[in-house]
Formats: sequence, C-alpha cells, structure tokens
Amino acid sequence: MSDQNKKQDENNQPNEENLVFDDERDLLMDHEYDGIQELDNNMPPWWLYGFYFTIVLSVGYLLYYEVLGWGPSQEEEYEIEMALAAERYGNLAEDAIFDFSLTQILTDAESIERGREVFNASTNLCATCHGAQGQGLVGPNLTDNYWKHGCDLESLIISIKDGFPNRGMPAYGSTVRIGNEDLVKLASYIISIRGSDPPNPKAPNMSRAVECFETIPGENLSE
Amino acid sequence: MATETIYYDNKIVRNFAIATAIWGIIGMLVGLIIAIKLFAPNFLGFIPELSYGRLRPLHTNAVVFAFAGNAIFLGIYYSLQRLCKSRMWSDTLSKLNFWGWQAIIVSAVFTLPLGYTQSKEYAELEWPIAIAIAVVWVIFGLNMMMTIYNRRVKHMYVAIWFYIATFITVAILHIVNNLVLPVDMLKSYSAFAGVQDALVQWWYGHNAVAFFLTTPFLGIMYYFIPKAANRPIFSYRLSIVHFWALIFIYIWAGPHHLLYTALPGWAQSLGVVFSVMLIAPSWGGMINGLFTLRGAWDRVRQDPVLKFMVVGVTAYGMATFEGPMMSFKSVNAITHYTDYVISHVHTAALGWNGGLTFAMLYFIVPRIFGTKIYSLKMANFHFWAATMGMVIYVIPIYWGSVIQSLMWKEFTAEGTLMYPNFMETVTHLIPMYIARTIGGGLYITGVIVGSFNLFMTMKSGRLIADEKAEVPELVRQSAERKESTFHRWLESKPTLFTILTTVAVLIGGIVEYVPTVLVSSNIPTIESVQPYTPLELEGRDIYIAEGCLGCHSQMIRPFRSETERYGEYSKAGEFVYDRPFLWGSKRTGPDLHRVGGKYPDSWHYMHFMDPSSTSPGSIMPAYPWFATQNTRVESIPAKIRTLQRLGVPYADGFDQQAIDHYREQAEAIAQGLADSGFEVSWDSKMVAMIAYMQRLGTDISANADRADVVPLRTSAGASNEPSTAEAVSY
Repeated sequence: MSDQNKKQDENNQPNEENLVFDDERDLLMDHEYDGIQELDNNMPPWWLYGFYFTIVLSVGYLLYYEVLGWGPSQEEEYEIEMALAAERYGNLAEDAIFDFSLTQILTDAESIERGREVFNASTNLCATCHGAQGQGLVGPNLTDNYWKHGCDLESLIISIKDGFPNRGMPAYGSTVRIGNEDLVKLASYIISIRGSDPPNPKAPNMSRAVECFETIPGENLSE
Repeated sequence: MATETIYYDNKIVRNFAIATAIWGIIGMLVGLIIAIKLFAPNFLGFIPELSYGRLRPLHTNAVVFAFAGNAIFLGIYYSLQRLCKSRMWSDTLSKLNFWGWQAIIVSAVFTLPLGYTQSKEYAELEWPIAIAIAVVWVIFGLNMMMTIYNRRVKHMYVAIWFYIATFITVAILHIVNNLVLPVDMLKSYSAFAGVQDALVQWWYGHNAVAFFLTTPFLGIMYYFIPKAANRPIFSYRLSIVHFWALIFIYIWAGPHHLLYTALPGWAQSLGVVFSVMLIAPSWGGMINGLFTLRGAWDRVRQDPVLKFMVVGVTAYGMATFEGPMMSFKSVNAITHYTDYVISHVHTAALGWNGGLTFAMLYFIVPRIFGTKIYSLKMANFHFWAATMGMVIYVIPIYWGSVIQSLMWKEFTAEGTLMYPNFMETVTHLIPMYIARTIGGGLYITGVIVGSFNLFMTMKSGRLIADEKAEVPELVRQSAERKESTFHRWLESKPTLFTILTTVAVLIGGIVEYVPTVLVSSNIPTIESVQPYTPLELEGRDIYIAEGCLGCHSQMIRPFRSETERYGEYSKAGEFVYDRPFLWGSKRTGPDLHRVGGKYPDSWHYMHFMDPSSTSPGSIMPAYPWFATQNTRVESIPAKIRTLQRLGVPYADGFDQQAIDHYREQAEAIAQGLADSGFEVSWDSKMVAMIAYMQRLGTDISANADRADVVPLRTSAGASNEPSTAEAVSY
C-alpha cells in the first residue's frame, strides 16, 4: 500500500514516511488511509475521568433541580430575590405614598438645579415632549399660565407620578423612576420656570386649559 | 493485488478553494461594516438596504454558509476522494453542488438586504431559498454517500464518520427548522409558535454550530493534521469514543441559548447538563489533534499549514470549554444578551474555522497546482495577522461585555437601578467596539494577503485537473473477514453507520421537543392574550424585515434588575401567536417586550426618525424610510388566511375585513401623530411599527380591554381556545 501512496503522490510533494517513535511501534495499528496511520493509545485518564465527572455532576444536577425538586425553579429564585430586596429596602410600593401635608415648593438654588437635571435627564422624557426650556413640543408649554391639570405643587406631582397614559404622557411613578425627593424638586423646578417666556413657545389649547392663579414663591403676583 | 488507474477530480476542489477565499473576504468585509456601524451609526448613511439590522444576517450567513460552507466542501471533496481511493461518484453532481451553492449565496446577498428574512438566526433565508439549500445539500450528500459506497478501501476513516454525521444532521436540522407556511414567494410564517419555535430554532441554531462548524472541521482536522505532520493519529479509541459522545450529546444542548427564558425549566436543565457533558467529547478532538503532533512541533514553527492548525485546534479547545461554562445558569445570567457571546463565537469562527480553512488552503492549493507556496513570508504574515487580529477582537469585547452586564444589574444603596438609563451602559462599550474593529480589520488584512498569496501560488503552477492515482481494483467484499471489534466491522458498513448516526442525533431533539408540545402545563395559557391585529401584524413583519432582533430582545428574564428596568418578566403564554418568535439573543439596545404603552406615539415617531433626538448618544440607526415607505396593505388578507391555517383563531371571513380593520386602527394613530405635528399616511411603515411597539407585552396587564381587538372564532372546537381550567390570571 505504501508503494502506491508514493506513486499516487508523485506529481506533488514526495510522500514522506510517517514519523513513528520506537515506543509507539507496538501501538501502530495495521491499517492506513491515504498514508494516514493510527496509534492505539489509551484515552488519557484525566480526560476519561473528567468525562465521568461531568456525567456524575449532570445526574446530580438533574436530581437536585428537577427530580427531587430541592433546588429552586427560576420563578422561585425570583420570589426569593424580590423578598430579600423588600427586606433590605422596605416595601417600595408603600414608599411611593406621598405625604403632601409635609411638602412645599422648594426655592433654593440647589433644589432647582437638581430639578432641572431631572427634567433634562435622558432617562426621563420631560424635555423630549415639553422642550428643553419647557416651551412645549409634542407636550404642552409648561412656562405659560394656562394649565390643563392644575398648576399647584400637588397637582403637578400627581400629574408626573401617574402620567396621562391615554394622552401620551407616561407615568413616572415614584421611588423607582423618579424618587420622591426628586419629584418635589422637579415640580418645584417646573413651577420656577413659569413665566420664563422661552423662544418658540407652544400656544395653549384654550379649549382645555384654564388660567393659573397660584402664587409662585418669591414673585409678587401684582406685577 | 491488481491495481487500476483512476483520476481524482481536482478541478472541483480548486473551484471550492476560490469560492472559499472570495466569499471569506466578502463576508468579513460586511462584518467590518457592521462593526463600524456600532460606534458610528450613520456610517454609510441611512439606506434601508445597508442598515445594521439587514446587514448583520448577511454577515453571519456569508461567513457561515459561504465561507465555512465552501471550505467544508473543499475539504470533503479533496480528502474523501483520497480516503476512499475513488473519484467523486458523479462529476455532474459535483458541479451542481458547486454552482447550486454559489447561486444560493448570491440569492442571500440580494434577499437579506432587501429585508426578505425569516429572522431565525442562521436560518434567515426565505422558503424558496431554504428549499434550494435542501436540494443542493441532498445533491452533495448523495454524491458523498455514493463515493463512499464505491470506495476501494474497506473501512471508513474517522474523518468520513464526521462527514456522514454532518450530512445527516444538517439535513434534519435545516428541514425541521424551516417548516413554514408561505404567504407568497418571499414571505412565510413559522409552523411553530412562541416557546416551541424558540426551542426548535435553538435546537437548530446550536447544532448548526455543532454540525456545520464543528463536525466537518473535525473531519478536516483528522485528515489534514496527520498528512501535514506525517504523524499517526494519537488514539483510534479516543476517536471512536469522542465521535459518538459528541454527536449524541451535542444535539441536547440547544436550550442553553434559552436559559432564564420562558422555556420550561426541565428543558433548560437538560440544556445545562448536556452542555457540561460536552466538554470531554469536544476536547477529545483537540487532544487527538494536538497529541498527534508529538515530535513534530519543530515543523509547526516552519509550516504555515501546521501553524494555522495548531492555533485553530487550540481556539477550538478554548471555545468548547467556554461554551459549557456559559451554559451554567449563574454564568449565563451575566453573559447572555451581551457581546460576550459575540466574542465567544469569534474565538471559534476566526480561530477554529478560519484557522482550519486557511491551513487546508495552504495545504491543498500547492498540491493540486503541482507547485510550492508562492511566498512563505506572506503566509507567515497572514498567520500573525489572523492570530493577533483574533486576540485584539475578542479581548476588549469580553471585557466590555461583562462590565456592561454588571452595570445592568447594579443597584444603588436605596435599592434603585444604578444605571436606569440603558444608554449609559452602551456608551461605556464604544471604545471596545472601536478596538474590536481594529482587530477585525487586521484579520481581514491577513485574509486578503493570504488570498493573494494563494492566487499567486495558483498562477505559478498548473492545475492538475485530473490527478492520476494507482488504486486497488474495486472489489465488492463478499467474504467477511472476522473483524477485531464491532466498531471496526461497523466502519465497513456505511448504511448501518449512517442509520446509527441518525438515531444518535435524533434522540435529544425528540425528548426535548415532544413534551414541550404535548404537555400543556409547559405553556400555561393566558386568557387575555389575543392575536395581533392586522396593523400590528404588519408592524411585526417590518420588525422582522428590518432585523430589529439583531439588537433588541423580547424576553425579560426573572431577575429583579430586569423587572425593575423593563417590567414584569415574560411568560410562556404570552407568545402563543408569535410566528416566528422574536426573543432575540443580544441586547445592543434595551429589551422591548414591555415597551408597549411606555412612550407616546409621538416619542416613537421622533425616535425612529432620529434616535438621538429622544436618546442622546444612541447608537441606533435612524429609520427615516418608515415615514416615506408604505406597507403592502393588499397582502394582509393572505397573511391572515395563512395564520388561520396555522391555527390562529381569527374569526372566519376576517381576512376580508382585515384591510378595513387595519385602516381604522392606522388612521387613529396617524391622526394622533398629526395632532402632535407629525404628518404620516395611515399606510406608512411608521404607523404599523408604532402600533406593534405599543402592543408589545401589554396583553397581560389587568386592563387589557383594548379597543382594537380582532374578532375571534367562537366555535367550541377551536384548537387554540384557551381552556379556563388551565388559565393563569395575572
């Protein structure tokens, strides 16, 4: 056979004899394919026992999670994770309840600045619809004196928290998307830009909006 | 022993060699383009046919089926003739195989950018092309099997075992996963829905990797390593054990692509354990390859063939260890949906498939042209460019993806998400995307230099189109010599061998699939889940055509970090009308399963027209053509009828009302957009897409009393009628 191989390859590279070490001669099997020979080495023990190990591990895994049901299912894992979070951070839903009696409009520069940040943050979509200066784009102008859903602090907070999903404004909830503290600052900021008269203001929809008579802190209403 | 003279067909080998190199360059260049688009989204402008979502499947199909596919044929047509001591059975079938395959690839190059896609990963091509693939694959298989039957060597070498497994399994996978009902020539709906479709797809997807990118290349390794090193194979016994273990175990591991999804838990667990058991059988191949090189390592330094082989086999070893690790649920929770998977894939594709392919090319081309490699220097440059290119590609992405995943999961001390804005986690990845592009660019440079080198090698020699060989006369063995072992005997029985291979690869798929369909508790019914309205269906088909699932998943996993970010985790019962399923596998952008109702229509309009207007820094491309292109409304009735035939319970005759229903729902949305100052026509793609976006994931919410529900079949015998006994209320 090897003669034929030599002939067969004669128009290419010469077909060299395979390199076989002395300690392998006994292992050389008595067949060859196109000059390829095979040794009859044992499978490496680490490989074979590694294979057995993965099989044992797999049987154990199936027993633990599926057959005996000792391990949690992914739904149970989720329940556990949520329960742990509730324990650590308190019930987020309860925190969302807002105590309006303790809330008042903030006027300090730091709070207003934070409110402005929240307004423009890309996580929240205030600026997307109401414009970066609150002048109104898709959503109404927030700087004029005409309001559809109330212009006092409490109304504003409720509007932001619950949104108007049917009219296109998402609910920003509380605690998770905009925390309670930020909510007050955001509403205070929005109150602070009232009357700022930005460029390209959107005209109010007079069929639904009413004029606002709320006092803005720090401003004299008579002016 | 009497001999006869035969001639090996080298012309077909040369043709596949040229096709491999050309498609390799094209497929990788498309990859480079989409890599650039990830950090420069307006690269090449916003042309529908060149958008990321449409080019990504072209890249994957081109490198898998065009580059690696032609390489497989190259390796098999070269080695099989010599292992069987027989010319390919039919020159006509060889030519049909070659030209048929190239025609399929060309059709993919046209249809995918035009948006004709089934959207199932690596099975995107629409049904007429899928049928053509099946036909050409059977032509290849017939030619191969007949050559094996006409062999002049009694036993089949291990490489041939792997070739047989490749042919059989790819045929089964391809046919089952492409069971669809056509709407027209270029659109179809999957015969499977939701969870079942996901299971079938990843049974296919995972085993396409196994039986298209692994087994044929193992066969190639078994031929070319001993030939190039002039060394006997390390262990015949190991070959037997790892071959059968590999093909039997591989087929079960598909569900590891669906961990923590709505796939039933038991199927996920099977996916985990069979992935873990796959380490040793995979490594069996690596060991047999590397240990064969004993005493030949000095030649590895000089011979580009062996260099590429060694790097390829090592990359194979790394990828097949990493894969099982990624299949542990706790690891998967971090790596899944991130670019980690992309790095994992490229270690295998660039290292293993690319390495073996070029090793093979450097081996075959000089031999069939009766010459030497044109430039050893260039070959060495190619080797280093490939190796370093791969390293520079994968490491930054491995690194960046893990960090991104941890950012998704990070909470503040108050228990809120640290990075509630998805964009923040993307921005961090951009330098990694740039580094990856540099690595990929280096790899392609190597491929271009290597292809030039091979071209010059071809020019410097002359093709030995029909290579003369003296072989033993063809004798039909009738008198059986007693074989030493059963397996040795089996190696001389191709039919039985093929049957046993088929049985081995069928078991896993059947055990996982059949209960998922038949046992109803696997997919608890949710009564409020309704079929899509015609408009939403059209939007969904646009989502499919644009390849949105290349970047967006629709599967929220049951983790607090995901339910805080996206909303309630996804339930199996929500997907019963999803044909095909669109769970996706990567989150370059956020999950979209609960995007419905989250933003106003006008937000979606602005976002599609210019994503950075609503999400500053977004790397999503703009889709301005949504506003200008219209949908084919007239095709709606045919779609409805096709879905009815698949069991979706639209009321009888609804196909005739579908266009009116479509128009009514669309005009309301268009009117709303007009009120916001955005004029689009009711039959624009924009309106359909917005309707689909707003529908996503909303069916399970308590007030699911939507205005636009479709009329349903009411007869008690309806197959998809939700049974109240099983109904789960949310």
